[in-house]
Amino acid sequence: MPGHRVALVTGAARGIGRAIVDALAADGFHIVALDLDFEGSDLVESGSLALVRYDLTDIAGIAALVASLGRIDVLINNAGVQPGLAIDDYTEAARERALAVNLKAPVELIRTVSQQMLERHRAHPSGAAGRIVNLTSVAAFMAHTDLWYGVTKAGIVSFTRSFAARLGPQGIQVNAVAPGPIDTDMLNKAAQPERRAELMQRVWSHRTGTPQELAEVVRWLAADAPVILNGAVIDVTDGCFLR
Amino acid sequence: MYEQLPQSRKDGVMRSVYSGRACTPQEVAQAILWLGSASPEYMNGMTLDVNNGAYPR
Repeated sequence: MPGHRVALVTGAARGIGRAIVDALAADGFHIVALDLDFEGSDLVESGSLALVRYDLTDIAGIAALVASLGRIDVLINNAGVQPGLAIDDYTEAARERALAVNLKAPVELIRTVSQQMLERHRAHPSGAAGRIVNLTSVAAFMAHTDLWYGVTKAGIVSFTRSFAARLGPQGIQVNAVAPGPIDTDMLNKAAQPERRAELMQRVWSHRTGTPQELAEVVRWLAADAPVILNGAVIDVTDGCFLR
Repeated sequence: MYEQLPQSRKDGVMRSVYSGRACTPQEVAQAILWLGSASPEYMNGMTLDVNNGAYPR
């Protein structure tokens, strides 16, 4: 058994995922960084960082992928796509891709990764079995101009709670983070301008959040949050969505 | 405070808690410590639920 903790981070090449890699690495994690491609990413493979190219629309291949990765202590379901389309402009391909990457893939990743976490719990019931963090969005709770994106983010809240209820008794934490506007390509290029303007009107600091700010919340959930914190959704919105 | 609750109320809360146990003061303190020291500026005006499924929202 390795002496270090291993974290699998999806969507790791850029944006929030890239910042999560740095935050977890600084905390001593070894990282398996997964993305569709690493073109333009500054991530470089090393003894503590493995780069895995994988298309998360391939749901059927996820079990074999996870089996090939070895021990995973922490799973960060960060990968997501936002087509940025009005409902009348959606194509079947865009809808199916959003549903696959944002919903089906993280469910299958949790299902498969949690199997080894459950085995660890059976072997060492008092030890840390594993932690899972899912990236949702304020889109889960608000009307959204990209309807299918909002549907997938609401679904992430749902499966976070379902898995927390199922795995919590075995010492596995499953939590989610719901960011507001964060300075990423997804917000700056993919999101519809009216959506961005709507969010920024309500933000107290009048600025977007940084990927590093969000990454600290993910790191805390992955490493330091008390075990009793489970099935929770932490809003990182600076006032753009209050509940 | 928790110990003073009627048993029926405690049983009701425990039925929905994933771990089947009450939270310790130390666990709540862990969350408070992070909020007071390392949580990012952009996390503002929110309520951090530490209830293990007793009240998901």
